[in-house]
Amino acid sequence: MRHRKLFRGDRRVAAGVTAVAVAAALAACNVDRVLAVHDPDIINPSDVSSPSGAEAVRIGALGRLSDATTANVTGAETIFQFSGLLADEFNSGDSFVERNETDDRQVQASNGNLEGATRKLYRARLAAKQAIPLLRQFLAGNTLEIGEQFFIVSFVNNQIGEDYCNGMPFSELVGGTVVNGAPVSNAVAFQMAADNADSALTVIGAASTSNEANAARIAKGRALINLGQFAAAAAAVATVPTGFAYQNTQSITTGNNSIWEFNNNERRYVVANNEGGNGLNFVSAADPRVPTRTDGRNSFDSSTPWVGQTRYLQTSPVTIAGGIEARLIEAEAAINTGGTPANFIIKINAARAAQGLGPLVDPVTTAARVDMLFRERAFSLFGTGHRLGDLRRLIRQYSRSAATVFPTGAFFKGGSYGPDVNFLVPQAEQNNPLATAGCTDRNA
Amino acid sequence: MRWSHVRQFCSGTAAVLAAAVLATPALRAQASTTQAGISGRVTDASSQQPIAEVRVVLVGRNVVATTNTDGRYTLHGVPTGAAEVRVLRIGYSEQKKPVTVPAGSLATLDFAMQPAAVQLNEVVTTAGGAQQRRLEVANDIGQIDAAKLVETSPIANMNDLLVARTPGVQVLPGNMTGTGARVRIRGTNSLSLSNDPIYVIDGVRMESSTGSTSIGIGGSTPSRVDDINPNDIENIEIVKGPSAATLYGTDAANGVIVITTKRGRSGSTHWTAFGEGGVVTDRNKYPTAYSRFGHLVPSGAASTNCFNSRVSLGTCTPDSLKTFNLFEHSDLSPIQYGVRRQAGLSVSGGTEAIRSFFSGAHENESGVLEMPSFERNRLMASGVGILDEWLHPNTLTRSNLRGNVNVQVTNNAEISVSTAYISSGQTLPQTDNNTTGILSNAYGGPGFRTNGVSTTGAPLNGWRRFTPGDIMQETFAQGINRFIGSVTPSWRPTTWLASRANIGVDYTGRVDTDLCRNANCSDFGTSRQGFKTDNRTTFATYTLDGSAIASFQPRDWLSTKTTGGVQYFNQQFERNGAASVNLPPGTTTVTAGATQSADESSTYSKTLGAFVEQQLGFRDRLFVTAALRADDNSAFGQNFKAAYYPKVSASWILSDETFFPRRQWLNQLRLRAAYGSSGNRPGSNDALRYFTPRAVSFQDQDTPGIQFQALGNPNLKPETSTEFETGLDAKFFNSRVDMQLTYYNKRTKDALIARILPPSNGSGTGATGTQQFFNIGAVRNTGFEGLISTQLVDRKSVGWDVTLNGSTTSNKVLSLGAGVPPIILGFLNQDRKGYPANGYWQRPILSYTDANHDGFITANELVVGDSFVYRGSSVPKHEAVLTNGFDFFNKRIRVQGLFDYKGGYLLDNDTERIRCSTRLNCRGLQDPTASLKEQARTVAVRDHASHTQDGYLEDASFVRFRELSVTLTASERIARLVRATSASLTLSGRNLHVWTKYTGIDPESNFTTEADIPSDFQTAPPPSYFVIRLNLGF
Repeated sequence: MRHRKLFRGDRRVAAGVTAVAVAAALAACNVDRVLAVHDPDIINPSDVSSPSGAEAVRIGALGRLSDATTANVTGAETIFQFSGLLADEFNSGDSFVERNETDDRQVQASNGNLEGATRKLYRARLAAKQAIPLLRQFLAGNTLEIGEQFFIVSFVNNQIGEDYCNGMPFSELVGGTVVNGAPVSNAVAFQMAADNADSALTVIGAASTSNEANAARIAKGRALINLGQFAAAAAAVATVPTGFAYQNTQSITTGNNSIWEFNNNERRYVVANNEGGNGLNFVSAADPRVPTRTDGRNSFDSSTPWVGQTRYLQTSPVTIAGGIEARLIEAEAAINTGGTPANFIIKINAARAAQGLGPLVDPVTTAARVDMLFRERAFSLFGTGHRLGDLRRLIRQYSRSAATVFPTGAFFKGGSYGPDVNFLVPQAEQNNPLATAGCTDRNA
Repeated sequence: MRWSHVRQFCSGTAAVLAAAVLATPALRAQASTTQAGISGRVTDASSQQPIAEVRVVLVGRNVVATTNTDGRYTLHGVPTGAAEVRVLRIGYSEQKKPVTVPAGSLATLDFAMQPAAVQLNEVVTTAGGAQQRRLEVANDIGQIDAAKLVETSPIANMNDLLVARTPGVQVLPGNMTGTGARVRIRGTNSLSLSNDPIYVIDGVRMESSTGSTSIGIGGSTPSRVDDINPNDIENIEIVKGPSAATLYGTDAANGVIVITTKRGRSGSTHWTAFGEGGVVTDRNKYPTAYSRFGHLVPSGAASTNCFNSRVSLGTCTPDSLKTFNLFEHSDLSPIQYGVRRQAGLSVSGGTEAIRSFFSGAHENESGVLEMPSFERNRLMASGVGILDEWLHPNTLTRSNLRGNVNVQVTNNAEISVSTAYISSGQTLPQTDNNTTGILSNAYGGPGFRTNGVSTTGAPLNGWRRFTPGDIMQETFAQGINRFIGSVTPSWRPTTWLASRANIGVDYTGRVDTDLCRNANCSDFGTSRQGFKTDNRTTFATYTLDGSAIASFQPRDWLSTKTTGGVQYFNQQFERNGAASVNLPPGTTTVTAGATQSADESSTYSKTLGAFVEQQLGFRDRLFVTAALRADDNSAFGQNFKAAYYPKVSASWILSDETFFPRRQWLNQLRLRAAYGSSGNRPGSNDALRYFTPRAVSFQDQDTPGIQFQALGNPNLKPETSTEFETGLDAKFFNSRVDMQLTYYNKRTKDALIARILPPSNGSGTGATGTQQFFNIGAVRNTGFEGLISTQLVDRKSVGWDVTLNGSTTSNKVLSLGAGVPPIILGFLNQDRKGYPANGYWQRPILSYTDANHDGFITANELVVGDSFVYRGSSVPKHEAVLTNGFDFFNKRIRVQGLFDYKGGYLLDNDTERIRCSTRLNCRGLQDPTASLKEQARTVAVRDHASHTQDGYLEDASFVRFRELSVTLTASERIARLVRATSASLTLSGRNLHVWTKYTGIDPESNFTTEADIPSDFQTAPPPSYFVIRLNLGF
């Protein structure tokens, strides 16, 4: 009897324990939401499918353009500074190899700053391409804003064509899936830029005098210049007022002016003067378009004398497409086939007048006009990502040699200048199976 | 539903238990027996003194007791009839005795335990929180007797407790006061996820992040592991590999460090008090700066940089060489000495019904950095009052309170409550990879003292750009308030069934602040306008688990143990940050700044898992275990259901077999083998495609916008590490030699590879934007681990014990996935198939020769390889630790020394690299008597087109005299003089000497305390500690 009672008692205990265990296990497992988390940091793709979402994505794209060109948001320079470093606008005052080897014209594919600057450009392009369908779906009447997004795409295509070797791909993101792009030549990139500028003007209206339309016109003119279609380029920008300026604005909370940040604040960049013999005298010229100052102190690396520009302050806006460039495009067209040579000095001086400068005298010879044109472009468009493309065009379109255009000889930090005339495809792009070979052509 | 698999498994786990309960015929037979008890006393066979904390186990049942301070125990609820009782205690050889238990009464069974020559803990903690006999576990579980170590060794923090203790556990300590260590167990498993082990304290998942700060100072950072006071810890067990950590589930692939804190013992109340004090000194040799004066050719301009290469090329005519080492000038050096103090009190005691342990400790430590007198004088002369946080910028103050209570509710039910409160305040200077860092400015000056003034007008006195007074005015502080608590009810409804639950929380409030007052700090950027950052973060980890163990002995030769459990972890990270710049004079708040900003971030992760384990014991000498764990986690991709981790293992005490030949010199031989898996989950948002918000300056107005950020991967699952481990344990010569030998082969499959996204697709920023995770890689780690402990001499007047442990680790990336190019990790490191993870790759310096015999190397006299080649491992491939202990005068005096060897790896001497490449003050650049090798690496990094850093990758193998301690244990008579029952005094030193070929300051200098790849970059070398500690018992 005693055994029997204990057996029953034990079974009751066992059954109780089992019931508790089963209940606990099932209770835990039955709560479907037990693992659900909500992270307020993130925005799901479905959250942007609305008019307000489309507008926010549009603003985001403008932010990406600013990140890529004129704002300091991630602690690394934009393509505007980095291309100027490879060209003759800036010297490296930095201790970091990435900037020194760029200044030295021996950029490696693994250069992290190159990758950073490149990603910023493509981000702006992707952001605009994401904004366009959203705007068309939810804010179809906002044609200026839609056209402006095409301008962004055009601007990026152009910048990549000017600064990088042949072989840069343009990938797409379709429904969350990456569609890798194949390498394309600079010429294709420029044509894509011209086409997107045309798309902008189509959306906005060809007759529009809006800022967005004028920005698109300059983007188109710049692309056509790069393609050597000088007359068409001049025609594209003909209606843009000289005083027009499409600007990125900056603020302390959203990102300082990037040139000020790296040149004046951190002193990693130094305004160059006759860099490598061929460079322009941006400092000694004392040109009011590139005002500079020194204070007897060295730059970030503690050994390179610092020279700062004062054109841009901490939150100065930057004109990324303007009427001055339009006049300079017209001036260039004037000295090329299909242009009117007499217009050359008129356009040059129009651009100068808009900057408060006196007129120049036409040097008459084509070579001298080319020199003058590119000097005017260098000072007028200083720090805005034009100079590297211009040096390449001097080689490609005006038959100059790299040895007479780019900095050469002994590099002031040791060794000699290398052969680079453009940026190569960043190593990270090798993760694109269609672009594992890098540049298809590194010539100018 | 994504959980369906786990839910099924949970249900299955419960069903297994139910089946075990209801369907086992043997159960009914056993359950029908009556129950009584066994009591007795356990004493030391040599001294006849009672032994406390002996674990007394009824063999084959879940009936366990622990002896009180008088050595007494009682086992309740014992079935009547024949039984066996086993006693286990660290420091003693285990014993097993038969006993016959009469119905309805207590049987008496006493034990006299033989002291073991070699001190090893005979029990280990299981994933369910229960204790298990070590011999039944087929894995090598590392053990650290923390309670003993802290009393007799120089242990200031958790780093010191873990370093050089356990084979296969690689610890790289932080070198500044309050900075964390990097811990790696059995190599690098993951290429893209954390390789940190997880920590469990008293059954609660512990927040253990390294790099625990929201404000960077350039390098060395705190670790939350160091919040734990070593004085509170009873022991640490290190579950090394996936085969042992299977039941810990997802997150455990990198190993588990199980911390058990001290608990109360029944018996008379026992008070202990300790106090320690000491100095922190820096005995390292710091680099000398070189400058060579001369005149440039053809300009004739004077130069202090008449480099060797310039002289060789004829572009500079040298004059004289100047050298200067500011560290050798007491008025200029930031290296002085620090102070360490700690005091604590604990009380332990109670009855068998209620046992408690309470402790409290307070410590403070200041590191070796101090504002040099030349700067103190300057600031005082200008009327600036020097704040203590400027004077000593590296300090730590911490208080710990702990209360652990065990309540025996009934004979078969107990509730254990563990609580700990930690409050700490820490300051760290700007340092390491930091323009305004103390050491980057101290290492980078010229070879002379008169190098002008800084931009604030302060004479530099050989400092590079900023002076230490200005640098140290920037104050980074971190405050911690942390609570760790758990409630663990356990219930043994029958002799064969034990259940246990655990509810716990680890909650940390962290406040990081960085303050620069107006017109203070280094003149870099806008710093001297003043700024304040105030980031407040909470970390919370909630643990909820339950498990049950059913133990049967259906036959004399067969025992079975079935364990099932369910676990739930909820980890939360929430941060609010506020910052402002441009502070008015006299202000120190964010509110005061002219430009203010705020940010918010959060991360959540939840894991639900269940496991079932079946162990079969044959004749108490062969134990076979099989187990399965299933997990789901909020970070898994939506297309992935659940992760399953299997395990099977066997432990065979071969020497207990009747056929095994008896040898007097061999006391025990055990063979063991285990195979099992564990996982490592992806980051919380890695599976998601999402946008993020941002502000944009649009037409001069800050405007809200949205931008695309991450691609995500809905198929994401945990990477799974599967390990085979085998080994043998043996005891020789009357158990005076204990040996453990282990081989492991661990393969991580489905390794998460953070594929670098090609820039051209335009995805987002940072790691989440530029990478996309795929389960496509594979990594293998193999190695041997060995441990020999021996008591060479064991006499009353003198004793000598030696412990030697060692390990090897071979790591190889087996696959990066199809189509994935080598992963480039900065300038120096790459992940490539067929090579070790994070290995060093550079274009090699193939040769150099002074072709023109001018004594200098120039770029054209240097041959550098055209492509990057593998140069070596970035982490040690082999380690060895030798500990010698000597006892004198009946163990009244003990002297112990520990030597630590690490080898087979390279370290980037990046401090020297930057001195040569851009600081222009290294010997290889400036000194014409520098070796050609030194010149060659300088020329290679500066002048050669490759800019290769190959010459700075140095063999970092070393032997360090890590610890020396002398402990004097007072006799009872002397102890009574201070009204104590016991007293001991320990004098100890840490980091006493290092032998190495490494030419940098120290091969353990490391600024990336949280990263996988060490780097010696303008960072602090290890300091030395000399501490005296008094322990008193009452």
